[in-house]
Amino acid sequence: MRNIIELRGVSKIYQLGKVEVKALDKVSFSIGSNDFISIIGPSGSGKSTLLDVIGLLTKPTLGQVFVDGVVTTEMSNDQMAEIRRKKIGFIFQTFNLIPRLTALENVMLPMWFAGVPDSEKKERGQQLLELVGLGHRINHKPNELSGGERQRVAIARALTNKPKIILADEPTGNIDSKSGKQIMDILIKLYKDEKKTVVMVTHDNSLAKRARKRIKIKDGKIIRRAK
Amino acid sequence: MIELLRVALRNLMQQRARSLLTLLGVIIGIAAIVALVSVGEGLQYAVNEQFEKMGMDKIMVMPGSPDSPGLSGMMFGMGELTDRDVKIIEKVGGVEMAAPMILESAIIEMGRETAYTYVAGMPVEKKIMKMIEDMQGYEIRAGRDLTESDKYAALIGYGVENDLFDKNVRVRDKIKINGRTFRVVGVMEKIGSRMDDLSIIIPLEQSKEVLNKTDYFYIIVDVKNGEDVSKVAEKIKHDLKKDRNAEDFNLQTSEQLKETAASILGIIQAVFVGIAAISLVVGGIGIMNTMLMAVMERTREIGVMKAIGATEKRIMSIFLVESALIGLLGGVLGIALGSLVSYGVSLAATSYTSIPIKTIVAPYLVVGALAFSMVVGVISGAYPARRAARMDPVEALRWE
Repeated sequence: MRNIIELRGVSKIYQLGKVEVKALDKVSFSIGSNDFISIIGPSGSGKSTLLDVIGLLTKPTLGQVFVDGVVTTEMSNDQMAEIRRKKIGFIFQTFNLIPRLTALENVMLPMWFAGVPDSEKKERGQQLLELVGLGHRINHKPNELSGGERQRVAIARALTNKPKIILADEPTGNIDSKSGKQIMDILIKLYKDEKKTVVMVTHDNSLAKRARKRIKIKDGKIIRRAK
Repeated sequence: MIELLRVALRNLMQQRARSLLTLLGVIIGIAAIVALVSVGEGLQYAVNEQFEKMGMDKIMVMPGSPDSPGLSGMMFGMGELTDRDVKIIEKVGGVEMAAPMILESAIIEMGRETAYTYVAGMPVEKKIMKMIEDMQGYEIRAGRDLTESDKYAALIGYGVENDLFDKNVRVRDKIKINGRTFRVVGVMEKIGSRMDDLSIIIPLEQSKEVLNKTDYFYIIVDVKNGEDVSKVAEKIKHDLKKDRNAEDFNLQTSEQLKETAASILGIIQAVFVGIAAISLVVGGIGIMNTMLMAVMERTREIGVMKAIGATEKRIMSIFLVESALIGLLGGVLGIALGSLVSYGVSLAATSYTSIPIKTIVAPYLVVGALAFSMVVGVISGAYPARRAARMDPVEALRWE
């Protein structure tokens, strides 16, 4: 199995005033294509920073990050944006939908950045919303949708440019448990049926256990790997 | 690009009140520029037309040294123009005729009322009267013109007829100028300038007597057809200087007068447009302020857009198009408002001064104003847009 994500000796150091904070401390691991990993740890453990580094939202202070076999450490901001656009789909705890746009428009947004033609954008957006069970609410704005529905719109948005990797940061953290289970089912389906690589950050052990592999992190260090 | 415009319009509509206020700043700036430029051009046009009417073959000779025209002659009482000078001018080759004029304020009485106004003494030879009438653009509305046989006869302006006394002055009424009785023989059409309309014209000889003057306010020289006006002017200057032994007079051709007027108007217009441009700069600062606020409010959104793959260029263009749109919309509405104002000014000018100022909103002005407003929008939006583009995605996403 080819590695789709590989971290080699990654450290991320923040300067908070005069204090150096090591959010990540020489982390190394790899994720194969079509896998489901959960990253678990208490708040402040560095798990969100780890997801930021994997998602190319930030560069590590030390070490190297490979995405789909390509080293990303020397890339420009726009080159990283291109990889995010083509290979990575983000799902956030707070959904992060654009409030002014309808569900469909939110889903179409990444395709706009990718330069997909208008008619195709609409068609594909509709398909994706149907896939997550929101075919009947495509013209609703985020504030007219429930938390679970908003997260499903966000998942549809993450899938628009057919990414290989889905990064989910506490995807069920802001929604009720019934909707949370729905979201988890979708993530598992993406891994099993769509052959995506899913990386999920959570602090909930019962959720983490549904992943194929678990990585436990504390004080910026991986303390346990479990299958 | 169409998508960008749609997104920008939508973002602007979201903060309607703020966008409108920002827009207003640009509208006022552009409207001021358009109105001032078009009124200025209308004025320029009107002035040119006045000079065309006066004819380009005239030379004005006035007392006073050319270094400080008008002033020194009046202040020191030197450099008086008299009949001797008129004779010298008439002898210069190329001169058709020379018409001296006296202008002085005087006490006017009618019945028991007394008023002050200007009295102008003019030669009453037919061809000279004709030339002056053409130049000043006056016409007889009632009664008749002065003729060579008139002595104590007066031609009154529109203002004298209507405003000077309680009762209107009519043809055949008798008025006293500095105590001498004159008969009103004609009333002039309204000219438009207050001073002209409040004037009383009497024959030159009688004006010397009642105004107690022998020197002239100015001498108008008509140059023969086909003669070079500036060469004739040089000759007059030379001859007068030789006779008077000093250059204590001042000589201007109609061409020079036209140029002087045009350059004064140009300076006034430049100053006004400069002030208007400053107001547009203030409008630009308004755009910058609004865009900075928008960038801050949408920090999280910017983070999201970056996370889902927007390049810095794309983020920048989203905000730049928004600010350019404010500029452009402000430009369109500003041009509309400015044209309206300039139309209003031309209406007001026509009804209050009777000098028809036709204000023109030239195509170049429209295009220029649009381009200028858009440039202001883009320049003001550049810094906020750059800030948005350079934002760190992680920090932007965590922004509360």
